[in-house]
Amino acid sequence: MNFINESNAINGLADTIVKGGVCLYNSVKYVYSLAEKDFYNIDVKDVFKVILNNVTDSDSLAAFGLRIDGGTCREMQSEEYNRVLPLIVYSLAVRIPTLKNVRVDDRNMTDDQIYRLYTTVIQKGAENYHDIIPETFLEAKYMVRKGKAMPPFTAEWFKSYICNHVPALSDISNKNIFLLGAVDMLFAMFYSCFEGELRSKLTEYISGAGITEATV
Amino acid sequence: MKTARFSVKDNTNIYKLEVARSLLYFTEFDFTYFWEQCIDAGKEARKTGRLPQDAVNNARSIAAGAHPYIEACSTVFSEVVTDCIIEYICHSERITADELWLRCISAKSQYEKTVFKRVSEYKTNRAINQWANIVRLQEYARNKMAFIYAPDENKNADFSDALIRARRDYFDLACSVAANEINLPRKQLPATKVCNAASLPDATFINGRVSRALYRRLSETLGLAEDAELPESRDYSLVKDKLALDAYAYVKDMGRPNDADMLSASEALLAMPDEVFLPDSFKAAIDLEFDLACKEKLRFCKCQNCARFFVSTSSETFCDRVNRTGKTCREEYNAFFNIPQAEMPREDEIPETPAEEPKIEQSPPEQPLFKEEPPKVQGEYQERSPRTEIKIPPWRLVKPPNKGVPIPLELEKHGQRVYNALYKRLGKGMDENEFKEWSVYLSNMKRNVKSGDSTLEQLREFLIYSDELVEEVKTASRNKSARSPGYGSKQAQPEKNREAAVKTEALTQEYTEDRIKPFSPLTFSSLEDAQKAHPPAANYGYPNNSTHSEIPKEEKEAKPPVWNRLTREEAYGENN
Repeated sequence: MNFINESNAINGLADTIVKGGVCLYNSVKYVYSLAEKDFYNIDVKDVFKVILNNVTDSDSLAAFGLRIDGGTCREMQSEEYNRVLPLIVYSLAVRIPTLKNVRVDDRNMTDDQIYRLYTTVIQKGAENYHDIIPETFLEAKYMVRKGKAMPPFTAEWFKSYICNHVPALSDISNKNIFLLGAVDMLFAMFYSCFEGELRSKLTEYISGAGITEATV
Repeated sequence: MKTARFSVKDNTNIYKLEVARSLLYFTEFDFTYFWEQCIDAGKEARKTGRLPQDAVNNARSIAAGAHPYIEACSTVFSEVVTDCIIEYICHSERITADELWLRCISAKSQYEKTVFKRVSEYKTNRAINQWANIVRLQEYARNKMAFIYAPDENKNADFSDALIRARRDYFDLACSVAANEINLPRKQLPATKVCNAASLPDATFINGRVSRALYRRLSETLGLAEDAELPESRDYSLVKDKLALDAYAYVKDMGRPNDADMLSASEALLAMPDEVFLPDSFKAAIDLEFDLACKEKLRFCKCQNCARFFVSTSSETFCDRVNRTGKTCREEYNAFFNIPQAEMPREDEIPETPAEEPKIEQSPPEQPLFKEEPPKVQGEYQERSPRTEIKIPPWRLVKPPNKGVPIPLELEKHGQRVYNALYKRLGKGMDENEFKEWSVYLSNMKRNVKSGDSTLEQLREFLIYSDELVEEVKTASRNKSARSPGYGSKQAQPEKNREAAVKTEALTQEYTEDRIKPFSPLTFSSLEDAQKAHPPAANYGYPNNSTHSEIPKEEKEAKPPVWNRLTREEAYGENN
């Protein structure tokens, strides 16, 4: 696939993946803070709508009056939990080979381009701590080459990680149980939207940036 | 005018409320300019991507001027401009706030983010559309005022304080019944607390100097105290006593301060108002004003001239507002009935007749009373005996204004018929200014009949006169069209037209000499037409010696041409 500026496109796509990871990381915190005192004031469906419509930017969630500071997300203010961010980005990075399925003008990304994108994302800080994420880049590449469907993007590794490494979140409490239930749905839905965003970004880098119009 | 002090949540200031006056001002406040400013700001934001801060601040200050509560709750009403824009978008595009929210969910500009954030606040019960709230509350205040204070038809506006209280309570109770029936949480409905300045929620910060002195005195005890650390999410309404007494436990051994400290504290504390109201919403503030007006016996009276409410301590009939004539309604009333200003004191200045004094006397039966009997109220509210009549001051023994009557359909139709007839001939027999003058006169006449200043008979006479006018205009219009014929005819008969014009000019001159009323001259395309239209025998009221009657009948007979065939000899002569 020919980009107008390949390195720019690779960096831009890597940024999008990292931003998506940060957004998912923050979204989990926002969902957790929702259970603090706004459980009946804020419709979780609205929160999901906002997250899924802005997969690379979680700032809009602040409009609900939710805060993700030490007051409401005290249990998430630990070094162990902070490692969830590179894990999330890694979980997205290993699925980069799926971009090979995106065809623009009957052309798709080359293996070399996909690998460069993967390494760029890893260089930006993605990491698989304790090998908690079972998927690998090579596995994903193999499945794409063979035309096999990728397994669904789930929150199993996330739940496993916090049960083993973040005891404050593994206690049985209203907030924690709500969080575990919410992330199951959130991860699966988020990835589906994120995939679409990544594809449109890729198309944008090939054809040039689109012009956005005001909606109000 | 009585004033009250109030404070609001999260604000360390105490505000002054002019009882009844600020309420009246709010009910009459015109938000049109505010609305226009908001719409302009919204349009500009749509182009530039952000709200123009100057326009927003300007509009916000306009809204803050409507009522002291809006000014006090600057944080609550800080987004009133955005609210107005949201309301405008939803109204003009016929969408709900939810749909607007979805539209802005992936906000691209600062303006869209602002709209999205605000609608999110509505959705999460952290705010309401304050613009819509102000408009609804204005309507609420107007309706409540009219319910309590507007005089009934055909009844006297002078009603007792007890009746006012009863009406107010009835209105409030109706709201409570409705709230109860639709299962609204009663605890969450608007209410007003009354406390002194030292027991306000933010009293520590309001009385900062004294608070600091107190802390210094109690620092030893309070230094050892544990932080309560109560989560905000829980409901503490049932444990309020416990919480307050837990705090009291740290000061229960406190003695009085020394004289110097007490003097210093008393100076600061006595400067604060004794009673501070704490309305928890705008509606509570409005209701508070109604309650205080009732308590202070301030009334909203309806002016019989301009039909607007005004504040008074007694039931008056005319206000002191300057109207379009440059005079107040009261002055206008006085001038109309030739009542000298000195003879007509304000009602609250009239010395009240003591109950024991035999000033109450039987008035002669034929004497007209300006005031009717007070409304009959059951039980304790009935204060006056209907059999006795209070001696009315002489300036009040004036004839009340006539009662207006509705205009019958027949006259309405008549008026419309005349209007249509005249309108059809606008520019032909009647010019635009004349027509405008006539129509204004008709509408004024109708209004006067409705208000009782004119009678139906007068209107009928005017319409009869208008019928005559229509006939005149019809004739004039016919003549006008005859006077300006088409191109061909003008070329064909210039001489005849000229003659007719000379004759009609003479007629007009004579007619205008006799009557003052302007008259459109009669014009004809030919002398023959003129003769046919007005034969001399009919005369039409013109003087007998007029030029009209002097035209000899023979002259108007046209001679047909003689078409005899000539022989060749006759035509060319015998030689040819």
